[in-house]
Amino acid sequence: MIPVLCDLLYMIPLGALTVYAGGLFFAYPEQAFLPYLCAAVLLGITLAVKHWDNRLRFLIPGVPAAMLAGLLFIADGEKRQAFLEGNRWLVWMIPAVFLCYMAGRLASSYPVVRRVLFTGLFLALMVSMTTGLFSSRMTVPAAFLPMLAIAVQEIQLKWEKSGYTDGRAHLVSIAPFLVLISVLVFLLPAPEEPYDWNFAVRIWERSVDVVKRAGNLLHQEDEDYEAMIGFTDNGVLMGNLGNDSREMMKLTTDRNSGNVVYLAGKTMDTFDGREWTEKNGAQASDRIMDTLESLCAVYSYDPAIASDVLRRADIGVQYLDFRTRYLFTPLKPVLAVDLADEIPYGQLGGDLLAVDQLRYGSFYRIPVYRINQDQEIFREVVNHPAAMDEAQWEQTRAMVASMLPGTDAGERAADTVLPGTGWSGLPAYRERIRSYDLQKTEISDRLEKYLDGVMAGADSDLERLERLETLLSGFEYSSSPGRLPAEVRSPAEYLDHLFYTEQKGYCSHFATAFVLIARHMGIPARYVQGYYVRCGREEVTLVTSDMAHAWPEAYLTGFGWVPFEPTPGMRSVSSWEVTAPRSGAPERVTPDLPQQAPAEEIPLPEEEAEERHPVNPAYILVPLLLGSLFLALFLAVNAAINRRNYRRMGESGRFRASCARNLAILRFMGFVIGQGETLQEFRDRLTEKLPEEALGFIGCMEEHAYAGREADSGMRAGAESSESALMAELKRQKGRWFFLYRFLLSGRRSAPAQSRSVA
Amino acid sequence: MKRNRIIFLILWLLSLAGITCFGGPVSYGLFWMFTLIPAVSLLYLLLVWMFFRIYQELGSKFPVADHTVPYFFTLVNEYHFGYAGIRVRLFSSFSTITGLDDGVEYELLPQTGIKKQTQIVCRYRGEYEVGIKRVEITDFFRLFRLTYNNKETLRVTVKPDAVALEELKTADISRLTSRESTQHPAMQDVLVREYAPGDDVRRMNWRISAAQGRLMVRGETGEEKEGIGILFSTCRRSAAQADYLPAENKVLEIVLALALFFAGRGIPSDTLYLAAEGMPELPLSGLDGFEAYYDRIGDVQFREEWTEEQLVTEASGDGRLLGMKAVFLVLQEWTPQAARLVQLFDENKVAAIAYVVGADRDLRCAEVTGTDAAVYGIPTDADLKEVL
Repeated sequence: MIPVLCDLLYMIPLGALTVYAGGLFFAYPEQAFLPYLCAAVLLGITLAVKHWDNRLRFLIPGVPAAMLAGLLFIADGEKRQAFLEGNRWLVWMIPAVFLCYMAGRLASSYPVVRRVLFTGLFLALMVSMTTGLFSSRMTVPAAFLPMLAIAVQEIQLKWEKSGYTDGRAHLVSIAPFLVLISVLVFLLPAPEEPYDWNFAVRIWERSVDVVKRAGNLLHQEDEDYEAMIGFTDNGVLMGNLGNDSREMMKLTTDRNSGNVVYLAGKTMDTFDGREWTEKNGAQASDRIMDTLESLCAVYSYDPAIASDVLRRADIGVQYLDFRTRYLFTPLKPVLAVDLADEIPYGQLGGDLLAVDQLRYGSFYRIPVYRINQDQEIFREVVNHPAAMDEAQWEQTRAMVASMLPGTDAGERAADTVLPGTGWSGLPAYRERIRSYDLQKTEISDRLEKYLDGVMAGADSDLERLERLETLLSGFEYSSSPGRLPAEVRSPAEYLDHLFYTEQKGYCSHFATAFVLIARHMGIPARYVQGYYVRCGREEVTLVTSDMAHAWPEAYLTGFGWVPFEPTPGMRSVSSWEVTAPRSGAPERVTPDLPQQAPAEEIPLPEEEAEERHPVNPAYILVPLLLGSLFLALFLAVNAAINRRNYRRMGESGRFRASCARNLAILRFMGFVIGQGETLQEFRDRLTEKLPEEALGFIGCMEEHAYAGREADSGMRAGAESSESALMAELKRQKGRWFFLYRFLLSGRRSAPAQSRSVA
Repeated sequence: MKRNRIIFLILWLLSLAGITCFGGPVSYGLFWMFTLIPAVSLLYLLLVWMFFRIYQELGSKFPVADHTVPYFFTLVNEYHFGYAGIRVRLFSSFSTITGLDDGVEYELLPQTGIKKQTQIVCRYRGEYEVGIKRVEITDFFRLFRLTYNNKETLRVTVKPDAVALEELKTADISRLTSRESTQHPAMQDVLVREYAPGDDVRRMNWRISAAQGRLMVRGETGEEKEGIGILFSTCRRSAAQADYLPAENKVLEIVLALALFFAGRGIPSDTLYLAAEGMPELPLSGLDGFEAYYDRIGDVQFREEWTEEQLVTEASGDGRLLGMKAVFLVLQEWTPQAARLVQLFDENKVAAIAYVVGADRDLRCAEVTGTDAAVYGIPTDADLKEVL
């Protein structure tokens, strides 16, 4: 059994691979299992011919071959040609399977063949992997199994051991584990894409964060930390900017987000000439109020242009090494009571503060509204604001509430997810803006005179702010303007210092100037600190500390807060095309399309009735006849060979042949000599089950095998007599199947080889 | 094995590179295969550990120390897959198995066994484990080796060896066995004294009594002492087998050798030692009783609490030893108490020969200088025929 199993271990997967490869070059029949079945049958035949110790094994390939030959012979030439043309795979299969058989046989016995086979399979796999060709979920494990078997045999070859060290037996005995590996490889997933390693990256990032946080513990209240991260919640105008670049956050944007995102973290309302602070400590939902006000303003103006003025984008923010409680969002976010990641937070003076310090990996995703600030339509809405009413306000509120996950549309849901944002809260909200963001700001006469000139002719707040923005952006940008002189102690002195002395600075300086001047012009404004993020084509952008930025926001009555960019070199146009038709614009006239005539029905051809051809009985009879002829001829030749061999044998040879047949008969009856059992013990075991006449040969066999007694005619006759008795017993036991056993025994007529002659 | 591991690790890392650069069944298949190989190998080792059986047998129920005994073991694979590499490691501290290389690795096919027949020599008396100590199993890829202690060890009780001494170099046997026969019976004994009530009348010297007109009893040294005493220590001086087994074995060997020597010469001996029941006495008058004596000695127990101090103290107060011609002390430590005991013996004209097991052969004891006692150091691995 071991040689058979060892051969099978190679032949089955090689056969499967061969059949699969054949499928790439030849057309297989519709029933996909047929080629595999055919290969299995052919392999089975070759194995039986090789391993069955009986001359009758040649009948297994012989009879079908004779029948097939007969079929081909009598078939019509055209039909034969057509059959062969349509089933080329069958013609190819036979030599291919035979080659598989030879490869398997040789591989199980010869190391050189194994190594060549292993190399071939490995190279084929490499080619398949790199080109993506010829690989399937089934063939890969089929290729692995012989490779594993070869590896095991090679290891066994070089392993010095004692005991049962036959390489093939060893391979067969551990084959279940190799098959287990192949089966598991087949069952486990094999995506088409290369592995993403996201989890490994996350593990790495998490590990790095832990290390950094451990290091940050040494910088608990260190100013350097804020300098490192660029963001601070105090508004001190520092001297020179640092140039550190630490990764703070990851920003996920979509195509509506624009190419620049201002992530606001902290707003401040009070400037004393040297630093910004915040006096607004109201815990109100001012951020979402601003969003609602802008949306309501646009819908009140003209719902059709809503998407031209405000465009919804979805952004996601993931915190990295950033020890803060501030939640960073662009202007006009849509915030629920709890953010997507269930981060509990509160609002304080318009800023969003998480209850706990945000940790590495904290993530939230929110919708935001972006202003189409550089388009004329925006100016129209701002400069000619429509009156809002409660109905529009609540309708807008419900619409915004419906955007939030897990809510239904409707007013009741809005109260739940957007508490404190009702129409009744709008006056208080505006009052807070006036109180904190429109503080009286004095400037010097000199500067006022100058600004009057700049603003001359501006007929709207927006225009004034835009001119201011342009004015400031004309200054020189400097990351190292130095500290403010000690004598600067008021906003007016600060502005004079910037305009007439320093005339350069960085974002904080210009944002401060913008806010102060806007307030002087009677426009509420505030100072914002956060991050200025340029988004490329990628969806995910890394926010680093050197993106820290300050900018002003101004409140335009009837619309809401609008950001501005006075820092020289930072202004970028971020707008999109207006699509909605303007009211008052001429209607587009679409020309009438011609009516299409219904398609005419095309009549289907009538199905022709199938012609049935009767099967030619010759196709059945001739193959059967040839097969039978072959069988008969074979048996006749076999009998003749047996008789010739028997005649040529001496008494000893005949005796041994007879003993071998007797043992074969006993095996058919289920009596097999046990391992280590002597002939006498075997006989004693069978004494009660079989007549003495049938077992008489065993005693002579013992003498011949153990005592070396030469077999004579008496012993031979005794063995033949036992054979007759055993055949009678076999017939009695097997009944109508006796003929099969007799047939099988006919293949063992000749004397077996000396080494197998007894037991 | 190291080479296989390195090759496997390189292949696994390459498979990682494969799935990083390429998708599809080949790259992932290779990755899974190289990842599963160690997992399946470990599973294989686990199954082998669970189902591998060892059967051991000793040719004798109670082997004797330093005597060869047949030893058999059978490695059996009772399961349905082959065992690729099995190696057995033997106990070697107290026993030696001859004719077997424990570096050999065996392979067992399903439902097969390997039987090995060899011989074992247990070096020391006592109860300990012999045979197969550890099993090492290796997987078929030779990536892993699992070593575990044999779950079914062979525990044997080894009897001490009875060494037949041809001579006793460490003691003057003639002195121990002869009488003062050169003196004329009528001559004044070296030690004769007047009869005192209670003296044994058999010791009466009638000739001198008649000569002197009063009853005189003999005081001659040597004639009133009878037999040989053997006093040995049953103290277990260490909890480690490697320490106490050799020492205890040597102690009993000496005791048996002495007893056998004297029994063979018809000299009666009494053996005393500390035991649970106090200080039992084992008399031995001739070879007939040696077998029973051997069994008793073989069953002697050693305990930590039976110290040599206690032994010496008990012996000092035991008059049996003082009535002997000679006392052989078999100790494991030479202590001042032992020296005093030897001196006591010497004062009472009892020859004392002390053997200190575990000491060097050139042991010198100042306490016995000037006396007839002798102290010898007997290393635990000494051949008694040479040292005694």
